[in-house]
Amino acid sequence: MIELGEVVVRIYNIFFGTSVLFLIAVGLNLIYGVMRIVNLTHPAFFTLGCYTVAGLGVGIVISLLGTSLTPLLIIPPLIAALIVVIASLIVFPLFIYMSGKGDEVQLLVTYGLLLIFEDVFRLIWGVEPLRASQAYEMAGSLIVGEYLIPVYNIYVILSALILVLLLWLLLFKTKIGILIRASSMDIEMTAALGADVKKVLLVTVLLAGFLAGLGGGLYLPSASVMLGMSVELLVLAFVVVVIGGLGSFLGSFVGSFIVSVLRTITLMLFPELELALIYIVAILILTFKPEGLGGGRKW
Amino acid sequence: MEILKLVNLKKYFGGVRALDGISTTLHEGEVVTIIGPNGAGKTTLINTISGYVFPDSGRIIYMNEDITKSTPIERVNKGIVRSFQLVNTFDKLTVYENILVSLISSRKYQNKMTKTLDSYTDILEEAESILKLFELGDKADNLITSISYGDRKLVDVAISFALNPKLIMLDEPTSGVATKDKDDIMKKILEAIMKTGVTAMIIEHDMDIVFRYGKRVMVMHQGKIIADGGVEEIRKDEEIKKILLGGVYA
Amino acid sequence: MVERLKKAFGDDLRSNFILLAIIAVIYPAIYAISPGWGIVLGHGITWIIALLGFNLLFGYTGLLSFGHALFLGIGAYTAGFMYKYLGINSIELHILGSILSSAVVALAIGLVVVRYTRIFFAIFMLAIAQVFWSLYYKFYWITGGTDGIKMARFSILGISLEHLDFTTYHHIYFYFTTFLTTILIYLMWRIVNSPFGLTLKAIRDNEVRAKFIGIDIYKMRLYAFIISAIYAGITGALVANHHRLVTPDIAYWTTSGKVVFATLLGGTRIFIGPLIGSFIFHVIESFAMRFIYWQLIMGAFIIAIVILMPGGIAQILRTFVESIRHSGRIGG
Ligand SMILES: Nc1ncnc2c1ncn2[C@@H]1O[C@H](COP(=O)(O)OP(=O)(O)OP(=O)(O)O)[C@@H](O)[C@H]1O
Ligand SMILES: [Mg+2]
Repeated sequence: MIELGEVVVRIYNIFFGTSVLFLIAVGLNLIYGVMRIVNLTHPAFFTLGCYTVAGLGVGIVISLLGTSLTPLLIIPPLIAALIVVIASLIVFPLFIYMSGKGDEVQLLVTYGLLLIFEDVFRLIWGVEPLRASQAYEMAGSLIVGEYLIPVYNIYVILSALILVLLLWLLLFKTKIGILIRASSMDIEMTAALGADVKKVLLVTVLLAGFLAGLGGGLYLPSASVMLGMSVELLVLAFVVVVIGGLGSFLGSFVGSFIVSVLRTITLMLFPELELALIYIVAILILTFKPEGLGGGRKW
Repeated sequence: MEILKLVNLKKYFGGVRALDGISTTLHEGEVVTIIGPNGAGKTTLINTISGYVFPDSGRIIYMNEDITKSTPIERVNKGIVRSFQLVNTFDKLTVYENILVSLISSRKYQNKMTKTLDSYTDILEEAESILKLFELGDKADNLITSISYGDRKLVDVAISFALNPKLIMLDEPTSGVATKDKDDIMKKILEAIMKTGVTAMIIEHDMDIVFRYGKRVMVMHQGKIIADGGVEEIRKDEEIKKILLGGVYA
Repeated sequence: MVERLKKAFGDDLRSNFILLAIIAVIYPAIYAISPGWGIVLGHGITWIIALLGFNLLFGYTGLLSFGHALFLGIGAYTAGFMYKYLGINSIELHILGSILSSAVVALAIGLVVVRYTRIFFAIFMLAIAQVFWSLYYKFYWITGGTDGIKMARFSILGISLEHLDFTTYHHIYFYFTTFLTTILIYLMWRIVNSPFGLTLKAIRDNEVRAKFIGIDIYKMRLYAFIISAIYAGITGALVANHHRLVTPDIAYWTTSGKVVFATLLGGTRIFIGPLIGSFIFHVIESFAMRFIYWQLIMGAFIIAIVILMPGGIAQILRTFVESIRHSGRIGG
């Protein structure tokens, strides 16, 4: 008999997982939507966000402001986002190079970058997993029946919701957002209408990086970061975009939610086969609904 | 003998009626030219017969057999072969290899992996004769992407002929080719059709070409066959001329 | 008529054999000067096989796998399990076993994955490989987990090699592998130049047209996938015997990266690419291993190759050789 407390905990885990996956997948889809590049490096940006918080952000905040909760909640993720935006800026020329090239080139170049990033993490932060759970611990927990719900994770879920809202406003209510969406429908047409396409591409790449970095920064205090994480995230994030539909904003959300549900169920029943089962579902979806469950809608 | 019979074929794309009740019959050895304005449904007709798309309703009867639901490969195996409107070849291969691939498939050699190609003299000989038929011999060793567009269209057609078809459907074999080369291509194609005795369905946009080379001409408009008859009869019809010109320039 | 084909086949096979012969001849001298470099040559010979398989799939069939380590893992663990649970240390049987197991696994996986191309195929393979890799950890009571499976020396033709000194033992490994590689290169050469091989290239270039000339593209891809897996599996079994240790590392995604990189380095779509790639890769690796940040170098190289020399080293050599021949002809 499953009791209420457990149900609450599981549901809330699903929301937490959805939030984290969404912050990765939405950037992957943004870049695919506008540049038609499946950016295998993207999950490494999330990992970079994690490392930045664990290896730098938290330290800075504590030494400057002491161990107090509010700055620890807000500042480290922003530092992480900033660092990842800088990293995105550095690799941006490669993205310009790749856009319009065959997908073989895109796959290999972004894969090469993934190898590089994973080794850079090792170079800077070593092989041991890193943690920085001060904010997580200080935020405390809620008690539901026999279960504890960490308040920090609720903060992550709320932050993700706010980010979704902001992102929606950006994409639908600002000029650059309209240009981004227009480019993803028809980039040549957008260029022909006089838009500065290069700027649109730059904003897209930086925005995707910003979201991944922020996501990683928000996620880290509740977990730890280690080598190989980018690849694990890559295979998960890829399922998310397959299920949701490549390039679809709504799909990022649907996909993240479904994958989180699947993970929660499989971790409960067959923990050894988690990834295998998720991929079986992805392949079924791809077979019967190749455009994904986002309904094939772009936005 | 009847080779192909279409019964009330319909194919809609959303609101667009690409095929709106097509019924017609082709006899063995017949050569039909299809003409019609942009978007008339000509390509969709070939797509449906070749299994590239499936009709919403209606039936396709080929040699007294209902093939409406057959897969593309089954249809190729029965002798129904098509080419595409835009050049559609194997781009990293030579002209010769492009034709060989087709012969390999036609002889069902594609599973053979233990002996190198030079031991299959039967297809090598046949490849030479196809090269000769289309006068491509001197370009055989060139990469397909390095020859002129007109020649690529010709190789595209040659690939289809290499399959030894009973019914060949060519989608605008002269489109995108300079006007002066169109005659040359058309002549070679008609010669190949004559020699092999294959039943053919040729889509052609260029009215001059149709009226010069066509025998039976079928006019399509908005998913329907609006006229079907001898080339002289069609040429005289003012109504049809208006539609064809109007459609092209609309 | 056959002349046209000669031109298409090129001198690939002969160049392969000449290079192999040179390496087989200089190997004892190199080993005598520095056993370390002798062992590097041993790695080079061993990995050619996996790269040939990868090139069949990527270069000739157009399917880029980021999970080829999957089959290296299957081959290696097959050898490991045969030793650990059945007490078999015959290298011939290890190879036969790994051929069987990788073919079976490839058949099961291939039935699904060959329906996808491009990014989908690449990532599905990566994901499946990661699943297997994690299973080697999770079922540690069978696989030995991180400690892996330690193996005794292999026997060959039923003769035990336990009593030999290491040098002789390694020489036997080297020449056995060279012999096997030579055969497998020859077989692969026949495959890529057969009707089947040309059909694969056609599918790679234009899937839709291939279908409309009556080719069952999934079936052809499945065959290529299985052959490719068998080649990788054989290298896996050899690696297990060369290192005498099987750990999950052989199935990790970075091993797949190594296969991708070494093949690109040598040259894809070029028959001699894998041979050149394997040796040069291992030479670079043994230098680069002194810095730990080898993966970083590898990633940077992949990007540089893709952008600057997509044909790899083999293409550069070929251009070079052709220009020499050409100038020779004009001069004479
Ligand atoms: N796959 C498809 N999805 C949606 N609409 C389609 C599709 N294929 C064809 N159509 C539509 O069906 C109509 C008929 O198209 P079709 O390509 O058959 O015309 P056509 O006579 O070959 O024209 P053209 O001379 O330009 O080649 C057009 O309006 C076209 O836009
Ligand atoms: Mg058309």
